[in-house]
Formats: sequence, structure tokens, C-alpha cells
Amino acid sequence: MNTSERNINYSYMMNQWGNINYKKVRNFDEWFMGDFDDSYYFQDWDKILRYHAGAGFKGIEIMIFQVPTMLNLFGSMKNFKEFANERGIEKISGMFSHHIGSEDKRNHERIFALERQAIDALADCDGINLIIQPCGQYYGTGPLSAEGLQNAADCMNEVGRMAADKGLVASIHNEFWCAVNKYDHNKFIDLCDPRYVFYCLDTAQVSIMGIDILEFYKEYHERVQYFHVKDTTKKAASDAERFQAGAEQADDGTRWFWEPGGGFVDFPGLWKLMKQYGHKGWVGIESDGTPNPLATMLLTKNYIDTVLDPIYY
Amino acid sequence: MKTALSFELVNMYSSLADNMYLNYKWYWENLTDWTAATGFDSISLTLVPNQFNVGRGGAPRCTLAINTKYGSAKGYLAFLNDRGIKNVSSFNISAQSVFADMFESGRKFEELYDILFEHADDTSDMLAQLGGSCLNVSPTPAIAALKANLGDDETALAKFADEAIDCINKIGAMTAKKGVRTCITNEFWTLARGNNLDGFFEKLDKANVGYTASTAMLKIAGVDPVAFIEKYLDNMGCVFFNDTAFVDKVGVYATTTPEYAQEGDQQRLYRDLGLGDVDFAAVYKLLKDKGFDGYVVLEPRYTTNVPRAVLRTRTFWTKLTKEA
Repeated sequence: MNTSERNINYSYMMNQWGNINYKKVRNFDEWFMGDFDDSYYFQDWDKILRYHAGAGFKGIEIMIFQVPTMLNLFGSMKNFKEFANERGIEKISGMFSHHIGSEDKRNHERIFALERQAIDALADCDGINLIIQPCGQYYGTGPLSAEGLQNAADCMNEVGRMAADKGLVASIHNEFWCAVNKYDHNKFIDLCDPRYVFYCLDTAQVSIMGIDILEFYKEYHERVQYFHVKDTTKKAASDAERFQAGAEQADDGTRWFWEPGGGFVDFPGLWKLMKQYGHKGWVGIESDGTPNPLATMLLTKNYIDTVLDPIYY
Repeated sequence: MKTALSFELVNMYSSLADNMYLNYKWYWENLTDWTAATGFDSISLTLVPNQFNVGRGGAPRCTLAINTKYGSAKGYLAFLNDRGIKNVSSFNISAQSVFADMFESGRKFEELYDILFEHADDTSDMLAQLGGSCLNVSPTPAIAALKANLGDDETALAKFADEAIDCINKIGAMTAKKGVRTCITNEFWTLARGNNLDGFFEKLDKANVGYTASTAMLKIAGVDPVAFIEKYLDNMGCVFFNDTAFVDKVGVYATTTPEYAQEGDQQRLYRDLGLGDVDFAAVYKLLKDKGFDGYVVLEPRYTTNVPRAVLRTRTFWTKLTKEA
């Protein structure tokens, strides 16, 4: 089925591949002989894009930290888009960025400078969604004062306007470990300008924060323009777990995020609501923390085909 | 001579399938255990400027991460000692990592050497507390990055090199007061590559600044590592043993991705120790004959399999010293 025949299409976030350093690795023997491992297969955009297209994903999403290397490799994001198109990827649906220090107005110009680069890069590859972590981690920053929360919202509003000027959509992405956290979550959304700032619902991050994503989606479905789909086995983590230093990268290696179907998130329930509200557009898949991106990608595709598509596509 | 294992065997930005786990504290604590289990009692770390995404993780890649996860340098040293590692013998910092950080930090190119000095001040404080002796400093960003900012202008590049030398001299004077020796390095992609180091070194204050050599970096730059190390032996800080089978036929050193060759027959720059064609027997003989008493840092740089490389490194060193 073509992407144009579906209400929703799936895009895969590329963060599990790190910062991809090669455009195309050509010589198998150079990597295999002497080491006899599989490193040849996991280092270049050529093969990684083809894995995603081969598994049936027509879109990808990128991280802001990948942009400098992509520009070094391809010369421009437009060239990267063409390279991806040739390999069966039809859309670069979005880019993830962050507003570290946004609670302090003195940091805003630095953040705007970073986001100008992000917006230019995303627009150059015909992207859609700029997905933004609104603040740094809770540890060392939270809880935010009323002024700090307002400053973070002001920062988001300005970036939302900047994105809209280039035809892009800026969305809040609220991590369970972010300085904007459970107790400020809805308030922060309400402080942001609905004309310019939308919401990317990360099903695992928000669940771990202790928020019922179905109830949230019912209330905020008009603001939710995008999704990050991932599962979790950690329902409503405690404040102590969420507010610890570097909480997302647990010191003992605990895995927070799983492929859909691997945890407790009610995806069928969410898809029924998406159908009810007539959601249309790209839906992002994230596999942060998987020790095997290929296995997770294929399990995810199978879940989409057998569980989600029968509900709504 | 003393030995240390370089933790720059891990490529933080590689696209290997378990890349995410490289940011977890447990990964590095496992690596520390493997290091001790293979008989090494010292490590060398590469540190980048403090920034959010590195600082929130558990990799000992910036002082913020170490302070956050272990409380302080003292806390990290206590952990290392408990696991059988007696010290961190050297830190490696670079003008390239300062430059790369500017995309997200928003700092200006003109501020590069101010930031590098601050970075050196911060890291040398920690290194002194970790029992280290050498702060290895790579003096310039990559040549391609410089040309993108300065133009392909020899006069501008020479002026920039002088700024680098001034900064290294200042860093040397500053770290000497802490009991840490600053050593310039010459990666094959910087302005100080290969024999270009001579022009840098003659302007450096030898009382405070030494040189740390890397065998693969010299070889890729087209320089004989043995002869070059011998020339600088009186000023040598550490000697990094890293291996390569790469021959730069396409000028990769001047490209935007110098450690990742996009063109040419060869794309892989580094090999685990003993799998390339550096003549380590000759380098080792030179160091032994001359009574080198500094650190030989064993670095299977950017290996494709970290635990395997740790084991291979022990095998390599045992064989090398036995045959010698």
C-alpha cells in the first residue's frame, strides 16, 4: 500500500545507530578478514537506510547531533534526502532537538542559534516535525519556579514561530527525566502558544512519568501532531527514579524502553482513539536502548502489521 | 616503561548495534573490570568539553559526568582502585572536540583557544587528583574544518598555528603548577601532522611542554614512527601504540571526515594492535634500549569489538615483550 493511501505512516528514529560516520562502506573483506565479525553491516547510511526501507518503513527521523556529520558526508541535507529517496525512504519526517537551559532567559539566544541550524537543516530535507525536549534534566535543574517554567515556554513559543516561518511544526517532547516533569506537564503545555507549539506524545516517556496516555490524548488530541511510539515495563516511576542524575541511562543498565508489545502501554487503546479523532500523518518509532536495532525493528513491524493496522491505518 | 590501556578503544559515535549502551555507567565499569582482569593497572581517558548529553551519561568522557556519577575525582579514583586500576595516567583533549562542540554550545570559532584553555584547566585539575602525569593536547581542529572557517589561505593557517602554539604554551605553564605535564600531539588530520610538528615544537616552551606520539597517526601521515619517536625521545610524554594498515592515497587527512575514509580502496583506518602493519617490535626495542620510563599507552583505537580488543591487547603486549 502506498503512503498516500494510508492515514498514518511510520517513520523510524535513527538515534539507535549513533552518529553514522560513513556514506557507504564498500569492502566487506577490509572489515571482516582478521576480525570475522559483522561490523561491515552497521556503519554506513547506505545499508542502514536500506534496512529500514526493506522492513517496510518509508520514513526516518533524525537527531540534531547527527546534522554536522551528515553535512560533512553529503554536503547538504537536500543531498541526504535524495540519497535516502534512492534507497526507498520517502520522507524525513522530523528532527529531535533540545532546549537545555531554557528556564534561564540568558540562554535563549544560544538556543535560538542552535534551533536556526536545526530548522534550516530540517527544511532543506523537506522535513515536517521539529521535536523538542523543553529543558535539561530534572537533576540539577528542577523543580522549576513559575518564572523558570514561563521562560521555558517563552523559548518554546519563539522557536515554534521560527519553525512555522519555514513551514515546519514544532512539538514538545516531554521526557520522564526532564526538568519540566509530571507536576508541570499540563501547565507547561498550556503556557505554550497553540498556534505555534504542538505536542509529540512519547508513549513510554509520558507513561513512565505517571500520566495515563489515553486520558492525556483525549484531553490534548488537538495539540498532538506526532507520536514517538515505544513501550515500557516501568509504569509511573517514582520521583526518586525520575529525578536522579542521568536517569534515562540507568547506572545498572536497566532498560527503560521496549518495542511496542514488550511492555504495558495500551497501544490498541491509543489506536482506537487515533481512529476516533481521525489522526493523519507520520508516526515515529523509537528504539532507544535496544541492544539489537534490527531485531527490534522487525518485531515492531510485525506488531504494526498484526495489531495496529487492523485497528487503524 | 609503564603500560596503560586507552579507553579510546571505544568509538562513542560508532554505529555498532549496541551504541546506546556506550553511555551507561555499567558499560564503563565492566570495561574497567576487563582492563584489570587482563593485567593492566592504569588507563588513559579522552575527555571532551562538558556538555549536556555527555554530562548526563555514565561514560567517563567529561569532568561533569565523572563528578556527577562519582561525586568527585576522588570518588572516581576510589572506584578505580577498588577495581584494580591504580591511576589514570593521562587525559587526551583536543581543539577538534572543542570545535565540534560549538554546533550545540553556540560558542564562536574565535573563542576556540579560550575554550581550549578553560577545558585544559578543568581537566588538568581532575587529572592531578587521579594520579595522572600527562595532559595530551591536540593543537588544532581538522584541516578541512579550518579551511571551511579560514579559507584555503596559507597565511591565515600559519597565523592560526601561532595562536595554537601560544595556547599550548599557556596550558603548559598552567598545568606545570599542578604537577601535570602538557604534551602536544600530532594527529594526521591537524596542522601539526607528521613532520609539521617540527615547526610547532621549536616554538614551544620545552620546560613545560613535551610531545606524545601515536604510532598510527605518524604512519598515516607518511612518517616513520621509529625515527620520529627517536627524534623526540628526550621530550617524550607518552607513546601511544595504535595500529593501522591504511595508506593515505586519496588525501583523507584533508577531508571533512578524516578518520572515516569515504573514497579510495581503503576505508578502515585503525586495526586492533598487531593486525595492522606498524613495526611495534622496532618501536619497543627503541624505547627499551633508550630506557624510556614513561607510559606506553596501548590503544586498539575505535575497535569494532571492545571486549575482544582488550583480550587481544594483552596477547599483543605479552607476545611483543616476550619476543623482545
